[in-house]
Amino acid sequence: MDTTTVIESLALEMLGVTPDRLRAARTLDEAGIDSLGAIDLVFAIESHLGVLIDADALGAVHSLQDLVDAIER
Amino acid sequence: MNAFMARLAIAALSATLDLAGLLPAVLHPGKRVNHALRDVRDASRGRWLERRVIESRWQSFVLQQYVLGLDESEMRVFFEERVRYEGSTWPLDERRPLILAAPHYGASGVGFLAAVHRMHRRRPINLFIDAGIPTRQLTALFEVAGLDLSRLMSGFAGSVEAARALRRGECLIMMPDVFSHGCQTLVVPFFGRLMRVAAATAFLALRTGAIVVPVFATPGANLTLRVLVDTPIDARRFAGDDDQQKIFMLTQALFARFESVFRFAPEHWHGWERLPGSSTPVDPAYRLDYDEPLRVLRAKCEALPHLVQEIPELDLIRKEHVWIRPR
Repeated sequence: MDTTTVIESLALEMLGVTPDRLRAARTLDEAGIDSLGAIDLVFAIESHLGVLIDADALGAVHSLQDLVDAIER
Repeated sequence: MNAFMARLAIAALSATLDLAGLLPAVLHPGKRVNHALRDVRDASRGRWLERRVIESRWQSFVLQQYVLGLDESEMRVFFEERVRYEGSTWPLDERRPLILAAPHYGASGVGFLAAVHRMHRRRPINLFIDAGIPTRQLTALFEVAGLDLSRLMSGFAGSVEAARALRRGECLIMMPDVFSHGCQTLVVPFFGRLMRVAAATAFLALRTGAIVVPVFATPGANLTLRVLVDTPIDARRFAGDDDQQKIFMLTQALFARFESVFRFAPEHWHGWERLPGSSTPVDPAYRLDYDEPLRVLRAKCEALPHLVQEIPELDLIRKEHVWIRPR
């Protein structure tokens, strides 16, 4: 499963945000993921993928693509 | 600033407090606090409060300048001989993740240094703030405390780092009584009003099982510091599946502790002036003549921005009075 699909499935499972809504939104906030929900999502992604996302990279995350880039960096 | 100059500065204010009373409100924080409290139910106000506010702020400022000028050995002596801890200090020795919830009260900067001195040898200590850029004062405090600036966390990335630090069993200092406008907030009762506060403290405590310990640091007259370590709030007590409810209950419990301390010694809190703008009365307005209803509505829109999100037309009233002519 690629990174985008993992994020979409976790966002749906944990926060009830559908993949369509996540892809269509310009920012995570617009998709209905508030800052606290985003923290939960980051930890779930790290646990699922066995990675540790760099803190500096997280500072630039605003959208789904930014999150994918931060994970794959 | 050396000890002699610091004591002289404090004595000079005490001698000129009556003259300070002639200053206009823009230069006199005590008058601004007195004015802000006029809408707070059961608030004790008066000249005595004006004097105590200006005394507290001046003593806190002088104490901080004095401590920032000490070298390492002098600072060790200061924290060992001039800092008095009161209350339940056992949480400071706990091994569980620990959040020190320190409002902007009294000499909070020196309190931060006292916490570092007390705990840093046992476990790392971090500071989370909502503001994006650390102030010069904060940077100076970190330098004096011998802490790496990477332990100063803010924003979204900082929230993740703060949670990671807590999961490692470290200590995190947070200041729950201020927040930036972009962060997640909720409304809790505070001094008979509904006040908007940040959700981050409760959220991080619940996610990491941390103990939340309210801490208050107040200056003494003779370059001393009193650190009150209040009754801890254990996040594990808040059971159930409703996350929003748990965040609310923990935040409400925290601000109830703040309120009880602020009622006892209101002069030390730095947040009185912004209270009217970040809160709304619980009781409905008792006087509804002239344009009072619009003023009340404007105050509620400013304190509860989600109202404006749900009813955008309210934004017209929030920005200016709009008189709508009847058809």
